[in-house]
Amino acid sequence: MNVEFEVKLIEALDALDRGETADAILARYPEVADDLRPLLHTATALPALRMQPSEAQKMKSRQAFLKQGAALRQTTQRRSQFAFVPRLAALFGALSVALAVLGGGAVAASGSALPGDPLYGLKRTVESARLTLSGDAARTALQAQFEAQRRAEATALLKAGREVEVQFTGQIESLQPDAWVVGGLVVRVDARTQISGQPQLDRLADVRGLTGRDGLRALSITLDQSVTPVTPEPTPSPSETPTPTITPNTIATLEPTEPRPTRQPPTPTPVPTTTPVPAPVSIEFTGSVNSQTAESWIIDGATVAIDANTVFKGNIGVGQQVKVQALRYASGRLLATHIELLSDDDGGQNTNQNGNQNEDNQNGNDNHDENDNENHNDNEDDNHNDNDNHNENDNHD
Amino acid sequence: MQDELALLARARTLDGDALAEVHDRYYAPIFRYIAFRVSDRDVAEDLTSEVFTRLLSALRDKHAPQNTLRGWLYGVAARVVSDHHRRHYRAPEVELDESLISRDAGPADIVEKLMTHADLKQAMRELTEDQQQVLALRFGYDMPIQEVARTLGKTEGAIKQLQARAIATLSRKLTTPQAVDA
Repeated sequence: MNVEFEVKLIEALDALDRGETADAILARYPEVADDLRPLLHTATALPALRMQPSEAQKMKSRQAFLKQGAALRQTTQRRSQFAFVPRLAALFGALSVALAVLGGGAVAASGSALPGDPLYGLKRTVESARLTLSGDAARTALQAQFEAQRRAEATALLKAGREVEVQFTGQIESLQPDAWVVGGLVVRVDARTQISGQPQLDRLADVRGLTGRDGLRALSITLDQSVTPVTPEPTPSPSETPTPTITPNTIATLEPTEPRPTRQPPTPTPVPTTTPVPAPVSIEFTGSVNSQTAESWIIDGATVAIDANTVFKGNIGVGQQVKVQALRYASGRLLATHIELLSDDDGGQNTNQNGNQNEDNQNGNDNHDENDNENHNDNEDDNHNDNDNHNENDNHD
Repeated sequence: MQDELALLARARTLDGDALAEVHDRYYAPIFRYIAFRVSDRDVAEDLTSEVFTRLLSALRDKHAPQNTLRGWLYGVAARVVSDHHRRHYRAPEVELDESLISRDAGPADIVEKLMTHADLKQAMRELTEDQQQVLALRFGYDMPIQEVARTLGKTEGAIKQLQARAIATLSRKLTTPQAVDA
């Protein structure tokens, strides 16, 4: 298409847009009318050619959307009323005593306190007071902030390897036989864990557990029965009756050989795929590495598959704290996209190790032929960290 | 625009009527936009529902759109489509021409629509990503040129040119007689 013709086409499409008829427009460009005519016809036909939604599907989508919306509305309302109003009087009392005794400095200092610390009680009192004093709109946001705070505290305790009882609320992001991921934390589940309610992905869970060197062990998990998951489930259960408590053992074990959606081989059968596999959901969590193999890592008891596309950041070994970004498939399988080293305390140890190795090499080499091993190691170590940051493009949401 | 802001404010409180209105207002344009960019009706329906689910998540997490619901929903739809393409680029879906006919269409319409929809779908594949975006927004989402330009961060002139070239390519494809794919 030459430039001159393109300009005329653009003008003609503009005119069409303003409501002129194709014939009137073509009359204005007699010299190119023959070439222009099919193009204008295509443009006028496009709105008619487009696919229109089916009314039935639209209603189905509407119903599902409104149901999810109603469930969400219930949770947010319930959460903001939940537990805080009755404590109002007690809170004011506690807060004024705390302020009188400790003064404002302590209140500020309590901000970073962890469960088990002397100032932690004060921190929680201040939080509760802020909640009671805030307006409705701000309260929900504050509450979400404090809930995130609970999870961050648990992470900090785990990192420090301290044994303290913690309690927090979060969405169930992964369910595995020995470990769940709740609100970005891996929670070990065993026969002693008391589970009330039916575990289901995306449901809110209130977790009470013990932190320690080998992760967070759940003592009890209470599932929020009123919440229907926001993400569509593969198999919606029609029953409204409350489901009996089930033990973690009844959760289906993982299919290790499940095909990945991106690698799906074209099916030879002529049957069209009308129902696509539900999309994997991106989740993020932290935990410490229990074991590493070429196919999968175990992080605080949760199995995470790795593949050629998994990006590793840092020199990660067993026992270290990591942040994992993973895709969760409908079957519950987790595939890591990024694994990043969190513990910075170990950096010093690593450099020492390398230093010793280099010295050993030097000594060893004196007696043999001149290998140039000594320089090799140095260069590799220096270059490593610079090259890590090239993968920021894969966020789904 | 003004009533869109009011609607958005009500939707933030998760008010049932407001959510119903959002759905009724945007379902069709979002569906048509997505249907321009994926080949299968069922997939387009699933992805359209996914857009609304993401809206709820955003409302819950307070990441809701600040002012323009329409632009925000388009952005989510575009992301849902590109996520879909990323997942499926190795294994293109088996095509089902019947799926392109509106399920509400009577038997009389079917023969004619089968041809034209299938042809359009084939022809759309010849377009560049940008050209597809422009056509899907213009003719699926019903956006005027200026809004397409704002949404895609390009000048109006650039959008007009993309549109003209897309239509030229489509026309060439649609008017050249060719065997209907088996």
